[in-house]
Amino acid sequence: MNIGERLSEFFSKMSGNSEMLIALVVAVLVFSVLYFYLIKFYVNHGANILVSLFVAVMIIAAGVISMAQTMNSAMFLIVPAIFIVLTVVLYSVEIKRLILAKKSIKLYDMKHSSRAIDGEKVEKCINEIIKALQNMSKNDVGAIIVLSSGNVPGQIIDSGVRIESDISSELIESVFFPKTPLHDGAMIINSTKIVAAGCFLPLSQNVDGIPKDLGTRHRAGIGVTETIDVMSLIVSEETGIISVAKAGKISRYADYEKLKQTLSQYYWQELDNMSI
Amino acid sequence: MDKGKIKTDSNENRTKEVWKTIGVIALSVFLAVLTVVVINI
Repeated sequence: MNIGERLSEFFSKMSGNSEMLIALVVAVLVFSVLYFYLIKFYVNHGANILVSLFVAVMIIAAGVISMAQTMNSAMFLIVPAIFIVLTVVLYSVEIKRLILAKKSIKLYDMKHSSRAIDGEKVEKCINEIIKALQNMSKNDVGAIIVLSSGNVPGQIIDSGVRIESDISSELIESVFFPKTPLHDGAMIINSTKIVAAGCFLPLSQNVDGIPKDLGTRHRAGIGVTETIDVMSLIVSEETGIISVAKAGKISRYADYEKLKQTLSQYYWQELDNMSI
Repeated sequence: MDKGKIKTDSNENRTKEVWKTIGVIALSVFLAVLTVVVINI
């Protein structure tokens, strides 16, 4: 029997049997939920290539198994099973973190970023942040500032102290001044507000990709960018060097121009093909 | 760099997230239907 005949036999069996139809609908729902969480996990962790690979392998396997009449079609389930095992192996740390933090995961309430913000205020924020970073760098004051779009999990915000204040260089420098209560954690900035300070960030699990002379502060700044779509600005306590971290990568020796460009990219959307 | 719209506007992010979720749901349902059909033919 070729595929066409097998498919028409399947659909004719289904149309006459309501119990079978209900069972198939339930099966589709169960598999949909399973695939939804798997694909969403890949998307949230920036692994879009795994999504493409998963879809491609599923389609190819479906074609091969359908055409091979001697093969047991239940073997098709090996494909999603392999991808689930691969995900658990590749993302064991993230999965463990998700399971342990399941009860308290919530996104930071975005209501504070929904009010209208104007260009002048944005430029002021950029200048204040750069001024603070340069002052802290000059005085070898260690700092981590996370630039978010309201996507930092609530558990990270809750690990620190909520500030909910306008951005000013004086406030930033005060927070990170040595021996103050909040100086040891990270500051979270969302749009034009300092959301919280003294927050604990996940450390980077990348053993080989980070220079050995970078300490825990830099690892925390890099680590948070590995799992969440944010940028980190880090000032080294030992050397005063300002670094920028994004997507698990760190770029050191950021000068005024680099900081201006980074912060402008954070605040402004590039419009390549703006239509009027 | 053209400045235009401020990127950190949360409505924009929300719309993008909604479309992303719809895409993932559609893909999941497609793969689920494919799985069920292949297993049963």
